[in-house]
Amino acid sequence: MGKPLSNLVQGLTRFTNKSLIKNLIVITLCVMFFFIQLFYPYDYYMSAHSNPNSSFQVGIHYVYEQDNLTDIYGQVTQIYDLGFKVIRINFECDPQYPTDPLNQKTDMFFEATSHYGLAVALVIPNDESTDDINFYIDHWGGNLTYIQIMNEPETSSSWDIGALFTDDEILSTFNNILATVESHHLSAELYTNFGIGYVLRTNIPVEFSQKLNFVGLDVYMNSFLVLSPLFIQNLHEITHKNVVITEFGMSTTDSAAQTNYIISGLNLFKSMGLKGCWIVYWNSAYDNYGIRGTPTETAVGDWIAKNAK
Amino acid sequence: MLNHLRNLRLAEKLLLQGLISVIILIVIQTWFYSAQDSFMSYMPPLGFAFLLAITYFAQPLILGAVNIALINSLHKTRGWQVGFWLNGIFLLLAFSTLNLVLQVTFDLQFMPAIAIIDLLLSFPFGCLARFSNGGWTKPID
Repeated sequence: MGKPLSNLVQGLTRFTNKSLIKNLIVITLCVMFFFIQLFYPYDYYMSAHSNPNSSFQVGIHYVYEQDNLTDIYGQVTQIYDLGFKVIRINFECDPQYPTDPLNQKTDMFFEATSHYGLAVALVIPNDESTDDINFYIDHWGGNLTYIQIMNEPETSSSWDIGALFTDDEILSTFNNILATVESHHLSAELYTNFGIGYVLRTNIPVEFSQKLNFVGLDVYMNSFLVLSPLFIQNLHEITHKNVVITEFGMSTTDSAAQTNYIISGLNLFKSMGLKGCWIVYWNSAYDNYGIRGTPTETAVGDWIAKNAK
Repeated sequence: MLNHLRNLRLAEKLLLQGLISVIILIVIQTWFYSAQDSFMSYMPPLGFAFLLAITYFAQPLILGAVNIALINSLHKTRGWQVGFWLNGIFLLLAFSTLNLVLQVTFDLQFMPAIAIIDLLLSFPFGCLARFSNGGWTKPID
């Protein structure tokens, strides 16, 4: 019994000691290690049981400017009833006409969020003027819990084709908006969100994060959801700040796929011990991101009831 | 000194090889953690490109060269079976995969917890390093 085994081991050693075989084994193992590094974190967090008592903040982006004035209060109530803790909103105001319907909608929105004690995150876009920011913060700044300075700045200055920021433009714009916001001495926490493309311009989150309370990461598409633990870990390592998922959603007419994607993400991010995840969008007139009135709305409400304190 | 090392038992040679490889990897990894921000902020995107080049080109070359030098010194062999870079990237991937698994599964920091575990695993790492390359006992024509 001992001799055949010894012969087998010696034969195996002789076989693997050939240069060609050794090279093939090493290459195969390299590929295996690469895939383990790619997929292990996602698999681990998806199969790990998160602490049901750990706090996790589920938020949602509400595009209230697309709703009627009279509907806004009711919509905020519905969002509150589902268990969302944060509402993220666009920067919507008209400084020229204080009684403009847009300003009335913003008034109505903040009246509702104040009543329910909901946290509000305001997105200040990349091209917003100082006067507009001052007007907004003068009127509604006291209601804000979080202020987002610029939106995915590493991507582009606007949605126009070819509108890519240079680093100097990004930093100047960031510093201008930051100085304007800080001049109001609000208690709101400041953050900037980054898309997956930040990995190509890592200096931007590194430099921004020194002046921010936390950083956001936007996750779209299944592939990036699977890779998100690696991106989150990397963003945390280079910024030394907590990471919150500030945009997470799927634009599809397939409700089941949207529900699966969002619930998987919520499970993953909670299991990773993140502070929160903000879904895009509650309503969305021009695409299929909105979860209002879909089975996803019910599924997310049920998930929050079971998992998010 | 070299003769003394060559007279060590096989297990001791493997432990020594693993220990040296792991210490080099820990030192480089620690240096990367401290220098990462400086690299990323240096004349973007050049600094980031330098970081990638050092991580995935220079570091594997150094590791591969050290590994075959150790094998040839300890086991009295010449030449190599696997190229320096491939051997180095293999060792780097093995080391970083282990660290990632430890970090994710047990929520550990690299310093000091994972580095200590790496040091404790020097022997199996030495076996892996020895297996991943080899020299020839006969002179190469």
